[in-house]
Amino acid sequence: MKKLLFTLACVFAVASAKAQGTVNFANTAGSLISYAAGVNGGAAVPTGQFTAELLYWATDPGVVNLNSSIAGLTSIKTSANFISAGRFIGGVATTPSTTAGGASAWFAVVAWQTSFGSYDAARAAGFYGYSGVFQNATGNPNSIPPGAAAAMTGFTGINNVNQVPEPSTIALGILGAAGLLLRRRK
Amino acid sequence: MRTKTLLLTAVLGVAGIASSSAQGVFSVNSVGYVNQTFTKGGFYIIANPLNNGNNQISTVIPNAPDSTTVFRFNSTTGFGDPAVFVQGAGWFNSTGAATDVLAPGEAFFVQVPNTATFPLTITFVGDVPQGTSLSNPVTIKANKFNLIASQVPISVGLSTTGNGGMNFPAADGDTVYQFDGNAQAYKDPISFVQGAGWFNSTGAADPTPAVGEGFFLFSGSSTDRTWTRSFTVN
Repeated sequence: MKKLLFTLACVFAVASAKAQGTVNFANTAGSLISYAAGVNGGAAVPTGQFTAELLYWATDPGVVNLNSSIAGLTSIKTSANFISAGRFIGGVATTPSTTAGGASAWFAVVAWQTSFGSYDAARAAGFYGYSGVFQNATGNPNSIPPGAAAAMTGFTGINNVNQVPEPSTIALGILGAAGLLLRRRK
Repeated sequence: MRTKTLLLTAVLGVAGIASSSAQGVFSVNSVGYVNQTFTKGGFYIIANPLNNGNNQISTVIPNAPDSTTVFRFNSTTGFGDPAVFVQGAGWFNSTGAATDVLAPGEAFFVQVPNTATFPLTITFVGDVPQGTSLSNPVTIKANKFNLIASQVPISVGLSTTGNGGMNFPAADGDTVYQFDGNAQAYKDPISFVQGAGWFNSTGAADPTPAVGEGFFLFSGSSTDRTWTRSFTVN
């Protein structure tokens, strides 16, 4: 009986794993990752400095504030493989089994300076950017015949990458310094 | 899937000689064969690499294991009515005898049944396409998936040029998806970045399909285009 249950569980696991959709995590010249207007002239970010990260939702999440921590959100792929300014090629991203192959899902892309190690760390320091949430088709690698990963046509780029500490971060720094000064005077 | 090519270069023909000048004008037909070897059942993206008469499926693949299935692809409508090989009867689709044309340059999926005897070899025979303006029969549709192959039986990178090169008219954002028959999964896609070249997720990678291997191309261009080239067997 245990063996049968184990076999059924394995079959279910395989079936679930096969039910996922795929997207090609890469952008185009029409969907570059760029600095905010006023930062480096709004140019596309240079190679070798940034990581792009793909976030996923099975259903429309509505308005999502990505100008905050992404802890708790579902990240399915990262890539630091920037080929030219603003252009990355990250390979195939596979959705969780909550999206069947060939179905639509919702995604967003965040970009952050790689040296910080994570989006949240880079965001705290002010070296980050993010897209809006977009709907995108997925490919079905298990259809007959197998379908290729869908192009990320819903992604229109990122044009708000900062390179300077946020005012809130600066304000916190000033407050801390002021606190230290006050303590020393006392 | 392994491919063995033998271009017999049995220089068949000599079409004609210009009568009004001393300079000879002639055409040379090179006939040969290409073996596609399959080691397991499953899906493969292949193409007929040689011109063989009307290039209809029953001419190009006259024999195959029972239940072998061919899926052709249309960029606008997707996969069409599959053709299935019935041992002793031939190729059929849902409306009757299949007359699909598998011209060099058009790729298609073939599903090899697990019940076949392996290794399985399918042999394509015919003439090597040659000419100064060979147009791939598959028009590369703008911003769509296209299932294509080299129109001539060579295996070099898509970025190569000249008579022995692929001469592929890459556009920024083009992405190539090759299917690995052994793994029964797609390989890491390779994208073209204008001014930089072809890259996959780990670095530079010139897509190099084998002779008779097809691939999906997602067009990064907003306009349709045709893969036109010249080729002669030297």
